[in-house]
Amino acid sequence: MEDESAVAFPLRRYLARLDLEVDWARELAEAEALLASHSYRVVIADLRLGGSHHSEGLDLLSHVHRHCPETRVILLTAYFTPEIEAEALRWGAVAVLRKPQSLAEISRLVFESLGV
Amino acid sequence: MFEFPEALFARLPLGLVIVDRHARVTRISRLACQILDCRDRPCLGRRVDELFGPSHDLAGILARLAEGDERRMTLTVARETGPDLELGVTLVALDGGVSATAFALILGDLGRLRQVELDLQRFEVLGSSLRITSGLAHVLRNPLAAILGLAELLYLELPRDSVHSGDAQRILAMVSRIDLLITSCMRLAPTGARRIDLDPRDLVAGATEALAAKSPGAMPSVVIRGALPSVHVDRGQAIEALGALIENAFDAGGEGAVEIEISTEADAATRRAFVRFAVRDHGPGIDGAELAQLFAPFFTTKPDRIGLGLSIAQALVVENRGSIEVDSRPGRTTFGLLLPASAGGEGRRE
Repeated sequence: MEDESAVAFPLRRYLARLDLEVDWARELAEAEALLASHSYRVVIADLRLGGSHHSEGLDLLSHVHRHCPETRVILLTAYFTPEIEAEALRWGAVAVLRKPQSLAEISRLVFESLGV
Repeated sequence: MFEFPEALFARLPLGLVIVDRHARVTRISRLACQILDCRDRPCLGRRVDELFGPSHDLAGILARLAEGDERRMTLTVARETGPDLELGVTLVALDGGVSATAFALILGDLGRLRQVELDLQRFEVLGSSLRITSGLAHVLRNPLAAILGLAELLYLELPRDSVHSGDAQRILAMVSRIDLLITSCMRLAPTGARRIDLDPRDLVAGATEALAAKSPGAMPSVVIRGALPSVHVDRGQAIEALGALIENAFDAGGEGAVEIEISTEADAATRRAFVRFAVRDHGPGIDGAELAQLFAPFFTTKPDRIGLGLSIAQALVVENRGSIEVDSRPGRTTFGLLLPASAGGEGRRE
C-alpha cells in the first residue's frame, strides 16, 4: 500500500524481477479489498498516506492481524520514531523501515518473511 | 522592628536585604550574601553603603522614602571574587511613614536576567525553525524514497557496460548524503529522553569509546574533582553530546592533550546540583564573532563539515535539562557541559 506511484513503481518492478507477484493498492480501502479477495504472504505498507496525520499503515496492520494472521507486514515510513516502531512491532509487524530505504534491503526482508 | 520569619529567609531564592531606619542590615537572604560577595564577612549590623559602595548613597535615598514608597534603580557592584555585577534594586519602605522603621532591598542580577531573556528569544526562534525543519525533513523523505528506488532500478536494468551506470551510482551516493543530512536535521529536535541515574564516568567512557572507534588514538585525559553524584540523563543522548564536545576539542588542534575535568556544581538560586564535564583544548581559541554563532545550525569554520555537531549537542543537552557553557581565550578553550545530578544526590560515588 503506497499512494506515491513514483515510490511504488520501482519497488513493484524490483520485486517482479525477483519472480514475486505484486499487487499495488493506493489507499486503505483498496488494500483491504485486495486482502479480502486474494491471499498474500507479505504486505508492504506505507505508514502514513498523502501526508495525512492518520496512520493508515497501522490500520492495515491491525486489519491483517485480525483477518489474515498468516500474512506478514513490513511498514515503511517517512515519519519514523521509536514510539511508532514499538507500536507497530507490538501489533506484529516484521519491521518498520525508515524512508528512503534501498530496494535491496526491502526485498531482503520480504524473502526473510517468506522463509526463503 | 519589622519581623520576618528566619526559616523563610533561609529558603528564599531571592536577593533580599532588610535594613532598619539607620540603614543598617537586620536580615539578609543567602542569595543576597552571594550577590554582594559578603559570604565570609558578617553583614548584619553593617550599613547598606558599605555593602553596595558609598557612591550610590542608598542610605540617603532610603531616608527620603515614605511608607509604601518604592524606588527602582540600576547600579553596579564591585566584587572581589568575580566580575562587577549589574544589579536591578527595588527599594521599598515597609512601615512608619516618613520615619519608616524598615526598608526592603530586592536585588536582581540584571546581567543574568538579560542572558535568560536572550536565551529564551533564541530558543523561541530556534523552536519555530526546528518545527519547519522537522516538517520539511519528513516531507522530503517520500520524494527521496522515489529517487532512491528509481536510481537503484535504473542501475540494475542498465546493461553492465553502460556509460550511465556511473551516473546511477552517483545519484545513489547523493541520495545517501541527503538522507544523512535530513537525519542530522531531525536530531536538532530530539524527543523522548529516557532519563536514568548514571555514573558520570560511564558517560565519559561511552563518549571516548565512540570517538576511539572513529579516530583511533584520540584519547582525552580525565580528572575527577571530589566525590561525584550520579547524573539523571538519557544515556545515549548524553554520550552523543559529550562525544561531540570531545571531538570538537580534538578538531581544535593545538599543543597539549584534550582534558576532561569532572566536578560537582550547585545553582545557588535553584539549589539544583549539576555535574560539570569541562572539556578543554589548547587550540587557537574562538573569536567573539564565532562564539556568538557557535551553536547555530549550519555554522562551521571547516569546509568539509555541515556544522550541525554542536547544535545537535546543545539540543540533546537541553532535552536533558542541562546546559553548555563556553570559555575561550587563545591557547585554551573550555566547553562546560552541565548535566543534572540525580535527585537528592543519591548514588554518590567516590
